[in-house]
Amino acid sequence: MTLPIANIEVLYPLMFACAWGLLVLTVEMFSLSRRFVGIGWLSALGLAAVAGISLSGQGAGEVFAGAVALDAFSVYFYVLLSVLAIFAVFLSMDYVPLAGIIHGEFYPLILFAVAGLLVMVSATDLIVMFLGLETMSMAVYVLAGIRKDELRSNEAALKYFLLGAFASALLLYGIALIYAITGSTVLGSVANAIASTDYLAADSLVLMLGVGMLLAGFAFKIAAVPFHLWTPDVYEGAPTTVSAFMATAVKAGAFAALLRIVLVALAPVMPDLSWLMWVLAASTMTMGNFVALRQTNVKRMLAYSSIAHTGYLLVGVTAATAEAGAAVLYYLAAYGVMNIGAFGVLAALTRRRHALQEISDFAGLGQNRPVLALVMSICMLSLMGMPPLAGFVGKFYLFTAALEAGYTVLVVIAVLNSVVSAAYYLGVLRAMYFQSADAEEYSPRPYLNFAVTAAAAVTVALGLAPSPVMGAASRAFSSIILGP
Amino acid sequence: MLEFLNGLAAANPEVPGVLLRVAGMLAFGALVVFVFILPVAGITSWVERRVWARIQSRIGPNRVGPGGFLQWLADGLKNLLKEDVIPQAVDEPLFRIAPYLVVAGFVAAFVAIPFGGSLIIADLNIGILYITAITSLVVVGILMAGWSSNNKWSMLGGIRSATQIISYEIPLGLTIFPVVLVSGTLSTQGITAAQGWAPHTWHMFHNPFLLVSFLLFFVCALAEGNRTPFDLPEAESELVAGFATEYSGMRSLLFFLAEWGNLYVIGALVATLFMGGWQVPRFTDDPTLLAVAQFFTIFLKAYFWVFVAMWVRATLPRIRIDQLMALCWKYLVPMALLNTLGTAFFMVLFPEGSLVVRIALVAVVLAIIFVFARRVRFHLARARGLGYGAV
Amino acid sequence: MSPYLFYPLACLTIAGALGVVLNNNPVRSALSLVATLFLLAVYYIALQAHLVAALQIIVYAGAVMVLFLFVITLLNLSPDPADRTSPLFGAAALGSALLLAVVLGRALWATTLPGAANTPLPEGFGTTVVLARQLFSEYLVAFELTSILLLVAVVGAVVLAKRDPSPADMDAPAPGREA
Repeated sequence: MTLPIANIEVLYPLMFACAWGLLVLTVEMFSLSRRFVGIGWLSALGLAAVAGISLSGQGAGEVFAGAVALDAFSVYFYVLLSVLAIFAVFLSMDYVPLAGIIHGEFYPLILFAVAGLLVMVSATDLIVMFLGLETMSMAVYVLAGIRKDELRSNEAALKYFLLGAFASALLLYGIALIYAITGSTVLGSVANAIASTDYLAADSLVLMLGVGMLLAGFAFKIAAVPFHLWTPDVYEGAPTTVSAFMATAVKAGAFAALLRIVLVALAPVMPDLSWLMWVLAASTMTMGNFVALRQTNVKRMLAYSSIAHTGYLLVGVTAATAEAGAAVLYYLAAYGVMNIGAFGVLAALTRRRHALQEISDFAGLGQNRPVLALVMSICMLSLMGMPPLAGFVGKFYLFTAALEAGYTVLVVIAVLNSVVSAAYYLGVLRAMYFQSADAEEYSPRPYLNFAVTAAAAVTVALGLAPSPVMGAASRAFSSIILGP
Repeated sequence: MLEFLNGLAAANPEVPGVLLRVAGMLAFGALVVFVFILPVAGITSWVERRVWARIQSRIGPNRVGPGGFLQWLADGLKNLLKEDVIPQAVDEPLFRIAPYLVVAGFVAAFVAIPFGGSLIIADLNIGILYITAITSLVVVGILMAGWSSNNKWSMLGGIRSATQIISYEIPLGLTIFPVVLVSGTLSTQGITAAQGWAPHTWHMFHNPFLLVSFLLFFVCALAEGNRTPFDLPEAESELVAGFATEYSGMRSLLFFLAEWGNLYVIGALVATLFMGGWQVPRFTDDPTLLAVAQFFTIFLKAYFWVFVAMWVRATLPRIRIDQLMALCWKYLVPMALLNTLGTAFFMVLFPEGSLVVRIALVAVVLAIIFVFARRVRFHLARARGLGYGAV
Repeated sequence: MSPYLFYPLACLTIAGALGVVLNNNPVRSALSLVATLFLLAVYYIALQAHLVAALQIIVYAGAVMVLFLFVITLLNLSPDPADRTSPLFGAAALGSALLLAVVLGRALWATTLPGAANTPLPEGFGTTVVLARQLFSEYLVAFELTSILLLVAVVGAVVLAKRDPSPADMDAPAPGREA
């Protein structure tokens, strides 16, 4: 008996990420300091290496025993996820001691969550994708509740875990039903099997039920209405850097997996399901934006804003053209970086074990901490979609592609939503620059400051020179549609 | 067995085959229970009491029948005729069901235990896994008994039992792995067939790791069967009678029946997995005679280990719960894992096994037995010299 | 699978599942779940998946459920006073259950499953050897990933369940303390 070791290079980034997680877990046991800064550096190093390995492994081979593909799409997300995770790690290096997190497993869990995400984005088999999703979720459940002495953190973990387990069950049931009909869990074979049947006929109801459950499970993970209810509570209760990781990397990974499923496995069904995506997109962004208007807590506001952005991204999934797909990929990168910046500023405002989260807490930030205020402004404006920042470019690509695909009404809704969103994003700016408060002294937080400044810089850079990332995004997207 | 039933089904096409097969299985199962399991469990109770008595310089039951041999029947009859007391505060349905579950768990294990080359109820291809699975259900019955009794001691007994069985199931399963690795099958008949009648062909002498596995298996099996020194769930001195405190009459006897019957299961498993099972030299061509010889071979091997378990019970004190857990998780589990890995390495080095290693191991074991016997003789002689009565 | 086996078994399984939901007493609920899971193993046996059946019993009925029972008995929960939940809740639960049953039933009724035809099983179906070969070839990635998943779950459980060091230890040098 021989093992199928052909193409094992495909697995190198994944294997490295898992192995590095184990290594950090082991090293962490011997960590003398409770600040775990060295462990953070070690994690960041590993994540950078993952990005490097996946870049160098591009084109090494495509599929490993039909389970994992290292195509341009995977590589794009490997790099994106590694970068976002490095940001989260840098934010955490100051935030972990500030928030009173005493568990050195924090960083290994982030690494395992990244490993799970990597599996999700590169899986070409529903079961492998599910396993990646569960690995990621399991790590994030724990990360959300890692501050055991904090009630909100407990609440966040419990809520996320219970609802997440429910969503996973739905997802798995959906996979089972799809397997029952198509006889395969490999994305390509599923597509072929669906294409060869009359899937709208009455005797394929089980298939549609499976597809519905699968989409519901993913809708939970990307926080789309009506599966979004956990988001504000979890983002609010989880440690801020974990919220940052969840809002950016986890969302990007879930979207990548969703894109693969929707555009590869379910490609034959999608023309008849685009109305569903349409409704999801419209309701998600409208709900997110309008509820965000009423929030006084910035973390909750960002959570609703993240729901709204899920809606914008779903516009691209609805359109499902090559341009729209590439725009989704680009937008995920832009959204990730600017959101990291926003959450990073929140983390930077943490006092010892006490997070400053209300909008009123931002008063006077413009005078007292001009750099942080500038970063926050850039991120808010970018999230709003102000040119020439990354958020604007992303929305521009996204909406143009949707218009070309003929979804005029949806685009109008999206644009109106962007206008509405200006109200709450600008509310933060107003508090920072037009209200005053006494200056407080802060301890130096070099890693946090570096990370948020870098995030803001990348946001500006992505807006001014979008073409390299956009090019990579469109190559990546075409690799799953048209093959290598 | 199955062939016979299939033939019966073919002869009576008007009766659904499944019903016939189920009925046949039930009848055969009842036969096995009444002709083999009940007497063996009962007689074991008499043997156990006599053995302890001998070890503790007492006489033990000797009134009913020759040498007290019929004591078990008398006890059984007495308990059958006793009132079945159901205390008022118990959770009645669960309280009633619990003993049956415990008995069912160990009786079901007999399905895959071989009594001879052709004497097995069903040669499942997952035999040994089936036995570990089905015996793990016993713990549900014990927990049920402990909880439904609505009594502190019962409850503590039930919880201790659950802790113990769940924990020791892991090293137990891990010590079976090396055997499965060596014989390449999970079927109990296949495992027996992979060994010979001569001691050096037994699995326990295949390599040093398997020898250790064999010892670990016996220890874990004792713990799984709630036997001393691991009988915490029914520790008389602390918990009255543990999970069985509130039970009386036949229900209480059922727990003891399960314990004694389980002893035989443990012995038969040790014999099958590590000691060649029913393998006998092919001294005759008569299949009946061979089957009888095979039956007695495995019976004697199994009963030897039943005797050792009694011996241990009469010799060793009970250990504490924290010691029990520490022993399992800190020593047995890592050792069992090492054994699995070691056996795998050994099989890579010697894919066909090594005769030299086998003979060396037999020699080592013989030497240990020799030294042990000499010490026992020495101590006995010294005790006599010191005048400790009729030892 | 013979109908003489299937229908009685199905009735028992459903009875067990109903017992889980309808019992007020958590221990009885958990025991019903044990029975249900055990009965599921019987289906696997009838479908020639012996190894899966044994694993089902060992893992679910044997280990997971015993831990459940263990926790429930340790907590010594009293029976749930049923009147705490409003009848509206019960009606909603019943309604959605019925709705799900109707949708699933309708879908399954109309669908001809490709595996439903009585095709002969491949050689050695359900045996350990065949299963192991599949696990270590076609499903190798999934198999290895499962071990990572379990490891993460173990690490997470330890993080959440481990007793924290005393507050004195936690108040190590605090550079983040505000002025």
